[in-house]
Amino acid sequence: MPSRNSLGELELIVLLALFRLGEGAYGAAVRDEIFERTGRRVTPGAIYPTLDRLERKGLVRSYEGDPVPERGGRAKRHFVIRRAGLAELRRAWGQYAALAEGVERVLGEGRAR
Amino acid sequence: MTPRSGPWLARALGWTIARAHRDAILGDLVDDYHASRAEGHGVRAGWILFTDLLRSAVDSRRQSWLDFRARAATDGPGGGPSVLWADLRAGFRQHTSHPVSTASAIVTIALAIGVNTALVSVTHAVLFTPLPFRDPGRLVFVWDDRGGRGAEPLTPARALDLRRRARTLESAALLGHDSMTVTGLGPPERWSGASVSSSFFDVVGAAPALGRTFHAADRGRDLVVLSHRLWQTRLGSDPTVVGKAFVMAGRPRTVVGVMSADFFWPVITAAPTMFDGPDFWANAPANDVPEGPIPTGDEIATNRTAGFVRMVARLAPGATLDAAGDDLRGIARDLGREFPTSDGGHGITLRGVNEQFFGSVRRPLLFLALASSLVVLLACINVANLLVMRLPARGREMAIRVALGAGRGRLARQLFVEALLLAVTGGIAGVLLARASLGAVVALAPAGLGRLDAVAVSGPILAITSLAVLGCGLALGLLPAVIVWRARPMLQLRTAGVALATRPHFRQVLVALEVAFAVALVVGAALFGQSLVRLRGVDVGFDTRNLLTFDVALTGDRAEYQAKQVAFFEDMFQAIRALPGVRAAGGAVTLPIGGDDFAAPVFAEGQPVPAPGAERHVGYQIVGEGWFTTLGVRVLRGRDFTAGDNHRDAPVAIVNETMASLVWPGIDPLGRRIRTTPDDSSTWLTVVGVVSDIHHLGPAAPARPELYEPYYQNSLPFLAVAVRTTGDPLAVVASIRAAVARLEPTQPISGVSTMARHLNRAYGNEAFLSTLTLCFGVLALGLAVVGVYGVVGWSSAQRTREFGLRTALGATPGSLSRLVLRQGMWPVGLGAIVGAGGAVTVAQSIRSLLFDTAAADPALYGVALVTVLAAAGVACWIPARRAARVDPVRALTAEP
Repeated sequence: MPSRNSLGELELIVLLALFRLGEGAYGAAVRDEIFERTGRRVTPGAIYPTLDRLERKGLVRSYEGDPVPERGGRAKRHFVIRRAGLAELRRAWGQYAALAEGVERVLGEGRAR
Repeated sequence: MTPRSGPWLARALGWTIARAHRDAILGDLVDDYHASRAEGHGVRAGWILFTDLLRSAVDSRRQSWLDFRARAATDGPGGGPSVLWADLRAGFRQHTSHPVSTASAIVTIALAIGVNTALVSVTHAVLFTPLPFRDPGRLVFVWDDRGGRGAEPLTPARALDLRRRARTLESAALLGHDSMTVTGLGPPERWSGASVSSSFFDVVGAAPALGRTFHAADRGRDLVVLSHRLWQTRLGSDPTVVGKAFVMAGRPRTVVGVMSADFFWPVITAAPTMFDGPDFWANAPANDVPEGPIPTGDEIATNRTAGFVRMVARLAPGATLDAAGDDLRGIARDLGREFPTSDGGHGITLRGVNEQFFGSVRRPLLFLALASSLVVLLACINVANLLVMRLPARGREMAIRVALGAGRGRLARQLFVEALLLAVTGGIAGVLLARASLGAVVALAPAGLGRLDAVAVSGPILAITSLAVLGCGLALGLLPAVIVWRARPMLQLRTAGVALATRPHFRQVLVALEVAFAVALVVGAALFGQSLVRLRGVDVGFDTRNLLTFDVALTGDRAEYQAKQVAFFEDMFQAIRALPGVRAAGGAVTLPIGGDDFAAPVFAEGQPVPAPGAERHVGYQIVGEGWFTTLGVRVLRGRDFTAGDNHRDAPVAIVNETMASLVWPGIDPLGRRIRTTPDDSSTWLTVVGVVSDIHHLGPAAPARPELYEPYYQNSLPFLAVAVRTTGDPLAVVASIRAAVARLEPTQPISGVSTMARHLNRAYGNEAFLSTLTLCFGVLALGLAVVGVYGVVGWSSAQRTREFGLRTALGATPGSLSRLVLRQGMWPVGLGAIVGAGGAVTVAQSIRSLLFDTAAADPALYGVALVTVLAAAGVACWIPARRAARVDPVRALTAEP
């Protein structure tokens, strides 16, 4: 069920990071990707509830992975963007792009590395 | 490496992270930490872990809150309040899925709140409704104090002296009670009222509903103010009554006003009572001394021997009750020096208006209100216990809620809402019950309990009850909520039931508490029950069955009738005795038990005259021929009065046994002489007989010395008549009325009643207290039994496997029963001991309410303890027997 509400900022960032990582990304990887690309340190405490919410909104789905083959290794939760998630991403990105048209130069100065 | 086995910091602070993603988040943080350490940043890794932990905690909590808010806004109809609505619906479903236990919980709360509300209503109406006077805190009543004999009315001259000299009293009015025959309204009627100083209403500070009251300036005019009750019942609420004149006691009096319905004014008696007050207030003659039943002249204002005057006064601004007491006692000492024979040795008793009006009922009412609150507490414990016992069975439900993201607060709130739902439903039922039962409580109330017209489940009562219900709800919800709060980490599908099972100690404490309260209330019931039985068992000294009583006060011109009154009464008794159904009839000036009370000092011939204030006082009765025979009082020695005892030059008297042994211990009283004043001029009365004792003041007061004088040598214009009938006493009333009317058509008889009714009135307080405490005791006992049964039954049902195992290992059914009984009964025993201890303490404070019953009577405590223990024993025995019958094969193969 697509959400009636538009995506929050963190939701958008997490969704984009998932999109970049492709099939089967997990929480820690998403966090690393965000840090890599934006320098922003998002805590796991924010990542997991956000992923959870995206899943409840029907934008991503998750599956339990095999436990890491070491003693006491955890089973990781892997996330996949669903079709609705992609559509939502497009819609959000479209909005940003439409609004940014003509002011890209100014906005570009604030671009992260 | 699992997160649980990660660094101690993660273990110590893990709980700060929202539960829903705790494991995943902690896992990531711990992974980071290990990665960081692997790179050689030991201390730094710890620091990052610490800060990331805290940031994650904040982030995760904020996310949970956002989720919660989003869900609250979108779940169900109505947006924001929808969570509450969902809780309510869930609570409703929860309760309706356990119809039996829910119904019993609601009934329990309803009964408790019902009795509590009814009693709080009565207590509020009687004790706490403001008195309808200006600044009532400054009103005081002044009584004579003859050292050790308690309060007594003042003599007119003493009252006038006190009023004149007191500096701490702003104003004071004298009053006396008087009934008057009223003519000019159809057949003559007898109204009971008060004769009061003209300043009475200004002293009291009360305004009328109709017309005006009289004032000091009206002295000398014959005016009357009517009570609202009289105006409504006898005058049909006639709006034009003001200005009309009635002939009252032979004199025309003009009605100047009618008091309002809430003007509460009881009979003013030396021992506080709240019997119905006067129906009218007539102003006193010019000397401002109230009129009594015996006609008096102007010289009454200087009378220092006839004590019949009551005094109500208003304290001067700034004066306290203590200061006024000191002031008046000082004046009393001066009066004692000035008038040593009459006022010597007398003191003053001062009473505030609340003490005077409500002194007799405050303790019983407050005690009953307290007892009913105890019942509410007991009901709460019972229902809380019930809710706690439901919890383990709800393990799955709770686990699912947790799995869906419910936090502790969410679960606790759900439980509170459920409890409130029960409490409010029970509370509403209770208020309805209280409204329905208020009539019964009022009917039970003793005759002396005033202001009962005003009893209603009114706004303030509803406010108090709502608070009580809210308190109940919170108390009920608290226990389950605390249990769930603490068990929350263990609420997973498999283990939730076990996690929510309370430790047995906890339930045993509840059982002990319940039993303790029940024992206390049953002890109360036993004490008051014994008190009533003892009071009813008192032999008042005469046969009270089939005894009709009424008053006859002669009307018309007093002078004419005083000459003829003896003849009239003789004719009247002759006519009454001739009626069918009448076995005997006699008259006296005052009736025992229901009537007035006169006392007189006695001085025996040949004995030293005691100092003023130290005289021996005895009951003083004037009785007609046949009085002792009619009542069934035995003449023990000598003879009864006869028609021949009418020689004023050779007066005679009869004394009762107690007086004989008081005045002439060990000596034959027959032929001895006695008089009621020490003056040499007064005549001696010769004792001609000794009669058996009666309890003139009612069963609760011990028989006192009584002196009887014959009516023939002391005739008065009024008599109380007693008629012994063969059947129902009220059946002969019509023929007696007709017989009296044949003698004198304008002569009314009034105050028709029976001795059985007078006696019931005398039992009123005890009957009220014992009936209600018995109700509370039974209720408490029932609640405790249900509570014990619930706890023991439930916990032995949980142990079916264990019992099966024990049986398989060789335990006999008897030993299993004993095991359950023993474990069930020890908290009962403990509670019983605590309850009995508490009851001993409480009983000390109600000692004064008990008649001939020791507050610490071990036999009564024994009975109460045995009753409660036996009832609890039965409640334990049923599950114990069930335990003994456990089939080991089925118990051990059944699913756990």
